[in-house]
Amino acid sequence: MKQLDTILLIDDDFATNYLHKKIISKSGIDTPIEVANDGEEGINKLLSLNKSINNENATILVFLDLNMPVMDGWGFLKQFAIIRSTVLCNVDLYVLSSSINPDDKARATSNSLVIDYYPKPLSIATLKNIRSNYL
Amino acid sequence: MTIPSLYFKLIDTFPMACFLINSELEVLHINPSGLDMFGMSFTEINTKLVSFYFPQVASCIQQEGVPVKSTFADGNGNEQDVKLQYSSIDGNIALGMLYVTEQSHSKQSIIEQQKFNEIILDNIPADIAVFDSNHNYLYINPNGVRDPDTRKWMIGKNDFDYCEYKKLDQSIAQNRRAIFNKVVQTREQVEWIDEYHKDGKDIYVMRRFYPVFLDDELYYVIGYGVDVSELKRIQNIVIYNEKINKLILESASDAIIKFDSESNITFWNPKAELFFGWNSEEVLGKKVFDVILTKETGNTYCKHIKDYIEGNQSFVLDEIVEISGIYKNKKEFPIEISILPLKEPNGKISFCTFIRDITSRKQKELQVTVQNKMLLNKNIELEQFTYITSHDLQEPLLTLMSFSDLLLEDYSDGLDDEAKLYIEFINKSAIRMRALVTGLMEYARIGKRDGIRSIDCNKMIEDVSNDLSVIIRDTGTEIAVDNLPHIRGYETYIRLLFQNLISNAIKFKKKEINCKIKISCKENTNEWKFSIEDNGIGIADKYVNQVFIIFKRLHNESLYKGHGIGLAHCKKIVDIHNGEISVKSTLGVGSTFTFTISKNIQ
Repeated sequence: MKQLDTILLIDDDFATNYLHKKIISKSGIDTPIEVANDGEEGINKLLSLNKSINNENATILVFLDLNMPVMDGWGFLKQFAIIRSTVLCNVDLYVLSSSINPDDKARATSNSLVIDYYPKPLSIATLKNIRSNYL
Repeated sequence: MTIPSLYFKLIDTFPMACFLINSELEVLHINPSGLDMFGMSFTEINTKLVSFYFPQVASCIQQEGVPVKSTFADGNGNEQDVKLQYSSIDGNIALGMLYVTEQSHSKQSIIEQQKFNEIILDNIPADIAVFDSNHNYLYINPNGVRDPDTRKWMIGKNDFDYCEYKKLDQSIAQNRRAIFNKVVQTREQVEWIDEYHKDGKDIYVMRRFYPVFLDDELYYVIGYGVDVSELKRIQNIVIYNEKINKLILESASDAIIKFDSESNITFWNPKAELFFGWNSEEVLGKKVFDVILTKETGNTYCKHIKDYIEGNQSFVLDEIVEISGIYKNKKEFPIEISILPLKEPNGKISFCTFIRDITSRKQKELQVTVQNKMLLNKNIELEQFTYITSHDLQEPLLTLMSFSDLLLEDYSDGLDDEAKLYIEFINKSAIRMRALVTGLMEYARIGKRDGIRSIDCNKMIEDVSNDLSVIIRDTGTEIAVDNLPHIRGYETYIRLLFQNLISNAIKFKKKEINCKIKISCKENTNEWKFSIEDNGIGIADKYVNQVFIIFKRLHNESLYKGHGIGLAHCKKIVDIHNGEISVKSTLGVGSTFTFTISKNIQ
């Protein structure tokens, strides 16, 4: 079983990030949480985390929002596909969206980098379920 | 007396009949031509004197060296006219040569010839008559007058006698006489066509008077008549067809221009005048492509025509092509052109070109292009709208809901009941807002099509009823369904349409009685017309037109829950099936929703 090292929240909405941090802690998960406010920042955070962790057994859990300024979720996925080989750590990626359009879900889940898609906000049950995959 | 054999040999070489005779008019020798003339052997001929055969021989001997007319009777009783010439030998009057210098045919052969002619004349499929110089009949063949007695009676008579005998109008005889006189006067044949109406048929006879002159004197006139009714009938059809064709060519909505193999214009119809501004007189004989096309296109077409004539059919002339035509004032305009090569009966090739002015069509096409572009922009806007409703508007609502939940959860102890009620209101409003926005997004997405499928409407109503089974059971609703058709449409949306209309009927039922719904369908030529009838509360007249507007609600939330989305969805679903939706309702009695689904959805 993989070891969970860091949770990276990528979302431009301050309230949402705050809420998710709150829900993560309510779920009893004490993994360190990092926050990025758009896709570009997300990529940079991911690269620096990879550098500092530098362990192929460690996992970075990413919750990615789709609708963001500067670089949106789709842009992040595109960029991540390019730099993926340079990342030593495990990156498990979930897309989170407030979108109620079924087209968005279909598009996100068809991306091979995406493990799953969840509507916002994350629920405690979902989080506990995801957490159970790791040490 | 002995005759030198030299004489015999000499006369044998003469081509005309020749006899050696003595003063007693005995025949001493006959050359081969002479024997041919008699048809007898020398010994037979020798039994008689030469005067027996040629009665005028004595006068011929007297006028030695001059041709003399005589008759000739051969041994078989045939007679013919000949000319004889006598020449004595060496001045010896006891011995001379008799030549036949001219020989007419035998009377017998004339009679045979006449018989032969009569057979021909009697059987020839034409009227033949021979007139003397006074226009009296000398001969009529059976085709001319069928009855033999009449025919015999006619000889020596004329057309006036015939008209009187047959009690006919004399004008026919007068006309014939006038023509006869003209023939006599001009000494040339005259041809004309007689027209009769017999047994309801038009009969045409082509007649001819042909004068025969002998020694400059009118000998007789041959009348000749052939029934040309069939030819004339065909000719009339041809003339009629030509008239019709001309009418068609002149009233056609296309410009029709004919030109010869040299590209010279030979025909130019009124539409060509209208399209190109030149009238027929101005362009006939001119080079067609110089007149109607721009220089460059004209040259190309000249080459196509040349290629065609030379047998290189690289270009299909009679295919419709869109190019630019040129008006009299040099202004270009769009045309559709096709050229039909025509093989004339004389083997020459000519061409007929059909041209349509497509200016207005081109304008319309341009309009459609512009409209399509506008529509495309609208669609992009709509997609944007869908994105906003489905995403941007959701996020703040989620935050509202999440934090009001958190507030109640984490700070419940520190809040009094009124504060909790306020938070409740915030939460409920957010939930309602979310439902509205969701409805709006779904409404916008209805334009987004999945595939058109064949739909069994009976099965679909069954499925919808199953989905709604709980509420149907709880409300005691009865749904009566006629036999519904298979239609073509967007399955998901048709299903939503039925579901919305059925659940609406149940939702707006009267409290005191059970809901009854009747679903039926009528087939029209181009569409299916569905009706869904209920016995519910009905809709007041003044609201009937508003029910299909999105977010329009006629009732207070506390009475009938809803967001005013269902019927707006229904209208949009019917719209994308090229149909119409309407409602007829009586307040307090019930409503009937009627919608159509086109049979021809693209």
